[in-house]
Amino acid sequence: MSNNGTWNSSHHDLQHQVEAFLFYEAELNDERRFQEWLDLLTDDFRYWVPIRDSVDSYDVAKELTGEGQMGFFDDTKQSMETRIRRYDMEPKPWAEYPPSRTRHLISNVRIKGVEAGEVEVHCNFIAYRTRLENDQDMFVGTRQDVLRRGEEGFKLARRTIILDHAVLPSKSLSFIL
Amino acid sequence: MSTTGPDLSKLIDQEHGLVYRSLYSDPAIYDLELEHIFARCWLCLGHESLVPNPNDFITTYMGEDPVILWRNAEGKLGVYLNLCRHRGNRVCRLDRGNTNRFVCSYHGWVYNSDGKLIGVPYMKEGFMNELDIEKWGLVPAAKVDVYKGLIFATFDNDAPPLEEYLGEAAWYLDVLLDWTAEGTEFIGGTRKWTIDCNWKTAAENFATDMAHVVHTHGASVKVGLSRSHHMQQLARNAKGFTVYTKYGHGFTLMDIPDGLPIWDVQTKIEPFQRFLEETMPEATKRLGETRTKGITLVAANIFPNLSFSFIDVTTARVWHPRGPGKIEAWEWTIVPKGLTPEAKEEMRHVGVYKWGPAGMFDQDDMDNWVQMTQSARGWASRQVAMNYQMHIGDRGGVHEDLPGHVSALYSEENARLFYKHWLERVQPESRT
Ligand code: FES
Ligand SMILES: [Fe+2]
Repeated sequence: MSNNGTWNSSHHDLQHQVEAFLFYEAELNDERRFQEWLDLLTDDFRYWVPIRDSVDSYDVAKELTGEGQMGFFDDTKQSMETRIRRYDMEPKPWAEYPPSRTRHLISNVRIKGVEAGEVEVHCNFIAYRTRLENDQDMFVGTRQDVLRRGEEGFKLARRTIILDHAVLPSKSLSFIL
Repeated sequence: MSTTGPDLSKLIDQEHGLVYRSLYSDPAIYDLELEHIFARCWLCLGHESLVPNPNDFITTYMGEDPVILWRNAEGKLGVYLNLCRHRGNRVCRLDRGNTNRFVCSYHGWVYNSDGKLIGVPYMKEGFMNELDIEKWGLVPAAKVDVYKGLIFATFDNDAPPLEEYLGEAAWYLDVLLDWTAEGTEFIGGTRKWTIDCNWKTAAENFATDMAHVVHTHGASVKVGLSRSHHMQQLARNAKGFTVYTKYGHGFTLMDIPDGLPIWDVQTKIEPFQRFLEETMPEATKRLGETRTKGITLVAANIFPNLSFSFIDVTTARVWHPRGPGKIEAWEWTIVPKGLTPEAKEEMRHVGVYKWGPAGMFDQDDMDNWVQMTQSARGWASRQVAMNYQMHIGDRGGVHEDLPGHVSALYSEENARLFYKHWLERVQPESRT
């Protein structure tokens, strides 16, 4: 699909559906409605946040870690469930006690491809997190999502988050980015 | 009593196990640390696997000093201040790469991977051919050495050899570094994040602190993240030791009847268990039964700022100081070379979700260190001592099987000796 201005009305519909899904998903995350958030994930969900370095411009293909290397997150639906169960544990999950206040701002939503019931969609985000008296963190980057259409609408099958930071400006990524 | 600053010995009361927290906040003390600790100790820069090929480099820090770790064209390791000799611009702005030269962005001085100055614009018109370029190369570290894959450097010409500096700590580190003849490697990727805490809060935590594990990390244990023997044992009343070795290093280890010596296993890392079983006979030949069957490594700090946790998957990290109240954590997953692809992948995966800023285990430590550091800002709080009195009545000593000064598992002797060593470094006249 091209998004250089040669759209027809069905593209507009899809763009609208995709954006509505992303906004809803962010709402569930920010409002800590995590069970509902989990329900938006496919069973084969994969969530990957690579590490980014400053490299030479001719090396830019290697600025992110990839397959077989370390990342900040490499989660499945099951490990996301574990993270979410951890939030309610006693003793406390101290990095989230009291919990982060998050605000996910989603913009520049681009549909990159449509295939066999799946939509690949990229967007930019700011994840703004405050916590305790005056912790204040801003994480900025791009998301590369794969949404899969099911009976109840879209589900999130894959999310890769490319952070713009080399050194994270924060003590923890204890919330869902 | 120092002629240049406060009497720091008042801040550390060895006899009563008391430490006063201005050593987390006082800028004058921080300056002493940069000079007497970060410019004198052997500091870890990473692992050979970060720079495997000729001309490979990474940039990192020794204390607050930016440095380049650079293999030359012949493959020899060098460590240089990332500091152009002309005006002090950084000669390299990248985190990693491969090059045989850096050209300074300011006026174009050129340095090669031996650290030599090989080009100066306006040599004739400006310097009238009088600049002795032999004298203006990059400033090398005083010493660079490798211990079984880990690269260290120091700015101190008089530092003892690395092997002596590690001393008895090497006996414990070898369980990790010498498990197989092939040694170890870092899995690619350095996780870097920022914590508003004094570097010592992190270092002492890894050197000594068994008492925090089930409290700080209780949620992760309970959620079933780590079903390793360690955690099961910790949840009950475990047996084990803390070990202090010369030059400020601290280890915690457990004594588990059927425990693994290291990487005591997550839920079911079957490929990795197989690897351990297969390599056990050879490792036992090399390391001896005490190390392969007798003890289980938990955590360590190599003075001043290189920490390890060995639980499930070994994480290594350096705490780069950024003023008295801030650090950057640079963290790696270190594994034995020669793992099967399945075992390596499993180790990688556990390393990703357990450690690092998003690591379910790691993340719960940070608030403690930040808040301890914040507490050092108030005048009244600074007058109140911190308590390091666990096992002060029975400080331990020689153990027949274990090198170093061996104390109980829930002892704070490692921390007391860490701060004693710290004091002897920053205030040499306090040495007794
Ligand atoms: S500062 Fe590097 S060339 Fe002038
Ligand atoms: Fe901890």
